[in-house]
Amino acid sequence: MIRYLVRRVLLLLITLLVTSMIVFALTQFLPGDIARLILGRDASPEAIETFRQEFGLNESLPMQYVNWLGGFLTGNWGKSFAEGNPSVRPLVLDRLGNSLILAGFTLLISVPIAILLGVMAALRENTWLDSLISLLSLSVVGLPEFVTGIVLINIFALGLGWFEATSLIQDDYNIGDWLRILTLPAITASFVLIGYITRLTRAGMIDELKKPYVQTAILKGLPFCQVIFKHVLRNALLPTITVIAISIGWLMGGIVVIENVFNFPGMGSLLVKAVEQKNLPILQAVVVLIVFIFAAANLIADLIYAALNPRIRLN
Amino acid sequence: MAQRPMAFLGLIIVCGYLLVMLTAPMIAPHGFSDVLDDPNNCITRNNQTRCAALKNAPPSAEHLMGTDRNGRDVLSRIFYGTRETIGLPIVATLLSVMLGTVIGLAIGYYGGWIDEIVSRILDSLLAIPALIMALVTLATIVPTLAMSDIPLVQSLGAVNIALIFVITLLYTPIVARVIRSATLNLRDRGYVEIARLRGESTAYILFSEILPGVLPALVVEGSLRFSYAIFLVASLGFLGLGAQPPSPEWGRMVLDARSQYATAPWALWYPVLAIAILIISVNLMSDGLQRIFRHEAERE
Repeated sequence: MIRYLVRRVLLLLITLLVTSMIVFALTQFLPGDIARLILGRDASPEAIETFRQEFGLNESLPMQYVNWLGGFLTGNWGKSFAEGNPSVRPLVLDRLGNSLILAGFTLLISVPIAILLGVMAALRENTWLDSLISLLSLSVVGLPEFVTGIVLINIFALGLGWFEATSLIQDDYNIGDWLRILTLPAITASFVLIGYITRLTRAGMIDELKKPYVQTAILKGLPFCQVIFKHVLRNALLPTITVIAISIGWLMGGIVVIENVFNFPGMGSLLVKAVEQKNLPILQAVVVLIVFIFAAANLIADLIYAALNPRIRLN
Repeated sequence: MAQRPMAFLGLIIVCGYLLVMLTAPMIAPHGFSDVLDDPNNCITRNNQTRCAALKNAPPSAEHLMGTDRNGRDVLSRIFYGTRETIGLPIVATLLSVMLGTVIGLAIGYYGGWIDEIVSRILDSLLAIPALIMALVTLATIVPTLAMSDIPLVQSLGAVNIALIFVITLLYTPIVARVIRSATLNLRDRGYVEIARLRGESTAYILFSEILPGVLPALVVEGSLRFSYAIFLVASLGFLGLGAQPPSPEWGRMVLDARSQYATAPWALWYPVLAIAILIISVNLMSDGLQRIFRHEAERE
């Protein structure tokens, strides 16, 4: 187990290193001088030279990467290209906090609903209820986030006025204020997750229900609910648990579109803005963080799976 | 297929969309960037009639889906938009299916260190979430492509070429992994062994003996990838990082229409509806394919 763990953590670190190199290399493909791109055509040669000095753009490419990596590891994430050159780290970490709150709230809504729907569909396999659930999980749920997001905004925010259409976060927000801005983005994100987790839970339940121990349990007179929730579900949820961990990683990507639909001040909206403005220090920090969360979620998923299923532990 | 009405319905609707894509210039009443004249708002001076643009006109008999904030016909834009919203994903899906199949067949059949190395490279490409990878790649290759004078780029547009490239880059590893594992199941079968003993070439074994066996997995994966590619192209358009104005790509249309929602809601709802129906239909179709092939596999 220890060897497996060490191997996986090492793999994770290598992935992060390679990703940061890929991102760094990609940004070098930008045609023209990045300093001129940021400062504009009218910038004086002195201003451009100062900018290049300040951001270390005069050094060789490998040197720039090493400098960046060293800074990133020691907590100095550099300064943003944007007006006033704010420090990257507090800005990105602040946005990360908001995104994690949104992701956590999304999981809180979607996981219980998805497992319930999956169990219901499996228990009523091949009936109208099963067909309805699978039709819903294929249709409403498969839509792009911006489509569901816009429909929800127009009904519940602009139409009924129950929630906010855009998400401004202020320091003195209480739980009620948070719910008003979090609910719609979280429901939008939940749609995709619910579809995914429902289908997996249903498939797991159906496989499990066919096994002889279920028959035995029912025949020996155990209450049906107890058989389902204490015995079948526990085994059927094995793949689902890993899916939930993977979903956290997925959310980090899917949340980009959702945050832009709702103007939610998270990492996703920060990333899109950084791409538009060619704000490389922010772009690099955000991408590396997202990849880290994505990879860490996958690792945790595999570890949980290994812990629950001893047969694969030694591989 | 006929025994699965929902999948059949999905197939019919997808075919309808394809028909629109192929005939867009013939059936669209106007061009996608034509600014229409407002007949009630014209001045004639020196025998020349000049009209104001017909902005934000509600749906009517002449303009079934109304006009947008620039005075362009929404229906015509939706018709033309199929070329980017559906055409690009088709090209990118075909490319990644072809590349992924060749790679998957080869590494699955040869195994050993080739498989080990290629699989690691494919895994590392999958370590970055698709949308993030697409954002970063697009942002950097579009300006580079835009400055080049390659004829293909000039005729198709830098963004379109970049989108095809990015989607192919993202989906080839996924297809390759699926085909690899399907190939692993087949390579030790008797008929493959016999072909080998007959002295057939490796290419013959891969494409004539193994490929037919992995075809069901390929069709299912292809239809799934197609659905995700539509999703990705439209999402990037909506983020403002894919198609650029005056492109009628549907995600871009939604983005452009959002700020005008109060005055011209139809310019927002019709592209939203068009993309929703398309994706639901593709998903129903691909779910039907999956069920059919799984059914056949179980019978075997």
